[in-house]
Amino acid sequence: VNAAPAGTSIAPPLRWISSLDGTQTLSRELVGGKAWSINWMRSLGLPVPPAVTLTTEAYVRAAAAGGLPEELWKEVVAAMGYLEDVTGRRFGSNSTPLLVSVRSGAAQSMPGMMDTILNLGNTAQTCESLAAQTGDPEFANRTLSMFQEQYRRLVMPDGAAEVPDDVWRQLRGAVEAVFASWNSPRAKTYRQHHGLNDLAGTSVTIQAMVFGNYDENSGSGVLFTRNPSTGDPQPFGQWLRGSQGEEVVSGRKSPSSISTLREAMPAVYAELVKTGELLELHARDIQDIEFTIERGRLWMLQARSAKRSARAAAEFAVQLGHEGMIGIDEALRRVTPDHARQILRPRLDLRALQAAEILATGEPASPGIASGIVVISADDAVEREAIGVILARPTTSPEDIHGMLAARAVITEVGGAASHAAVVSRELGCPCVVGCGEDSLMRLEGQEITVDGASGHVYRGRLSVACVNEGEDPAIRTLIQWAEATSPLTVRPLAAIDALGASDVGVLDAELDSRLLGIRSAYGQALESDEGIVRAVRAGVPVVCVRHRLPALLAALPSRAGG
Amino acid sequence: MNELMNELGLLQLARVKGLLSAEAANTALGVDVETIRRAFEQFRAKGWLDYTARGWRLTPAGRQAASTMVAEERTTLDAAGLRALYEEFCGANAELKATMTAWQLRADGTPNDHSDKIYDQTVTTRLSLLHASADSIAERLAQAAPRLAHYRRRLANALDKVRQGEGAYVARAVIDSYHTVWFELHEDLMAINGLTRAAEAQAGRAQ
Repeated sequence: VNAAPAGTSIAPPLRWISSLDGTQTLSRELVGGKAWSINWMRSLGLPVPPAVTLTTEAYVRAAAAGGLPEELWKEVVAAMGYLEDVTGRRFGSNSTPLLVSVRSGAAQSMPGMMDTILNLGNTAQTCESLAAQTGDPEFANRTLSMFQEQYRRLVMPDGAAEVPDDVWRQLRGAVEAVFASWNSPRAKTYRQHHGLNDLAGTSVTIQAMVFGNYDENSGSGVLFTRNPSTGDPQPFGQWLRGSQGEEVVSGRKSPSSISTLREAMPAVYAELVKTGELLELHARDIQDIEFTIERGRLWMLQARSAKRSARAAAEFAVQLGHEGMIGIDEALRRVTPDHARQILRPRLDLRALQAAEILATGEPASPGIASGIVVISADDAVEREAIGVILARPTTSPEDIHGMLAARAVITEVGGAASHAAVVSRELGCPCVVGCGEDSLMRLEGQEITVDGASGHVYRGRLSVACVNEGEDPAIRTLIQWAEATSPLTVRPLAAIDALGASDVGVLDAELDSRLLGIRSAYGQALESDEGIVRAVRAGVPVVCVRHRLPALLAALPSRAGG
Repeated sequence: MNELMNELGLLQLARVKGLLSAEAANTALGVDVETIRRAFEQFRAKGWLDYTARGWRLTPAGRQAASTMVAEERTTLDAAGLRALYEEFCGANAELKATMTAWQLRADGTPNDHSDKIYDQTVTTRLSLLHASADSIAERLAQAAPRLAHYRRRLANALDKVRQGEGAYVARAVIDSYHTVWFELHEDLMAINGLTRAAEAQAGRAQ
């Protein structure tokens, strides 16, 4: 593609089709997420292959007509003319063929929906000219066969007919297939199941192809502007030389770290990173970017906010807050109490783990680490609670609840991740391993063990545990300081109980509100959940003492607890 | 209701709940708190109940007394009908457990932080669909064994709270959440059919 810079050629005004040239603001509902992202990037002047989209209104029109009506098809032809103008290529031409991708615009990929067809506009003749132009018949053949294979699979599921050699018939078939797939039984069931019945329909985006598989100076990949798993502020990602994005996704070839792109094509790498920074600045969030390099030239295909781990959510919030990209309130909104709890969850010390003996293994049902003496009845658990006990049962029943409340962890012989023990333990925030096998646990009575509810292992003895210290972890410490400035509640560590004379509000949620009234400071299991903290805020309790401060502070923020 | 039924109703409630407060018994049975407190004191005098730091508990003698009374009660009831209701309940149990797990965990195993309202709505819709069968079972159970009539009201009450936006009433322990009530119902159904949890667990029906 030899595209003119964005915005130099204005698309004709059309009723059913939007040009994604960045000159207008489009709504996500009208064009879908992918098209919205293309238009947004073009509005920032970034190199994005030119594209147009049939809007969801066009879908509604076609659905009402029971096919693609002529007025709509005329606009498709006109829009292709616009793509031809800006690329200097001709759709179906033998000398300078324009190839396009056709994508559905559903906000999220949906089972049963047709997703993407690449290299459309390809015929035996364009293939020949592509081979002559590039001097690489293998590339041309690969491009054609990839298209034919995809087209046959997605557009002609009966497999009987030949892939049309007429490019306009190819295009019409692909657009109709995307529209039809919106109403495939699987897509309908999916929407019903996920409460997405309000969505009007899908858009269809037609975009000029760029070729990551063109030559050795081409490739495609994914860049995260910062590391979404560790939260490090360094760019992170993968790319695959000489390939189209599909091949990276399909896992047929294994991609290389993005750092190898820095060595292979330093200028492209620098531009990619700079583009990432620009997108981050405009979106005010960490971006997940799909890109293609064609003959040493960088093209952006998609950008969206990156999914992230709990640790990365905290690190990013602090980084963006410090950089002034977002305000303190927004930074605190981006870290949930659950993120904080996940980060603060103790982990088994790696060295201790290597020497540890596994006594039993079951299904991990509720995460967390606990050590204690094994008791095998709920009554024993209550009686010996003070020494720290692990409740082992063949299976639990509601009448074991008092034992589960007293135990530091619960392990069972029979049952899966949906068993009573598992459901209740998760509600209580108590580590739990289920289904360790018949006759595997009762013999452990009286032994000291360690339970890892995240891995499902039960170890002999008391293993040492590595904890994140709230006062020493820089990101956590910063978030605590920020949250303290706006929290209506003063949150102290449990160690402050004695000095404050705080009163225990117990675990009986049903009576929680009345017990909180008039209390000056409180602690207890009920205050270790978001809901307990919210109720403390609403009851006007000034001070609470909790195991970890950050989750409580985040839950108490006006944006979460109200008022 | 005769005196035995009243006594057994309260005793068996303490048994299936493990821990009982006068307020919780009032919520479950609809009997006023003062009457329940008096009954607790009588039961304590008989050696059936004990007061612990977390609430009232059955003693081993209390558990034995409850078992004897349930066995006696069973001779007066339609055994085949109750057994059929239990089988029907077990049929719905897998969906209940899957729904509870979906409420707590996302498909990838991470905790559901309840920030995705559409996801939560899907789960509560699932619970509503399940409730249609549960309500029908509970209705027939109330006819077959009037002592257990309270389950129908309690299940409906939990679902109402969920529909009003109180997510805690899906699965929270100790309060009368849907999960709490369901599993107490499971216990009572096993007891009234003369089944033990251990045997049922091995048969894969009570875990």
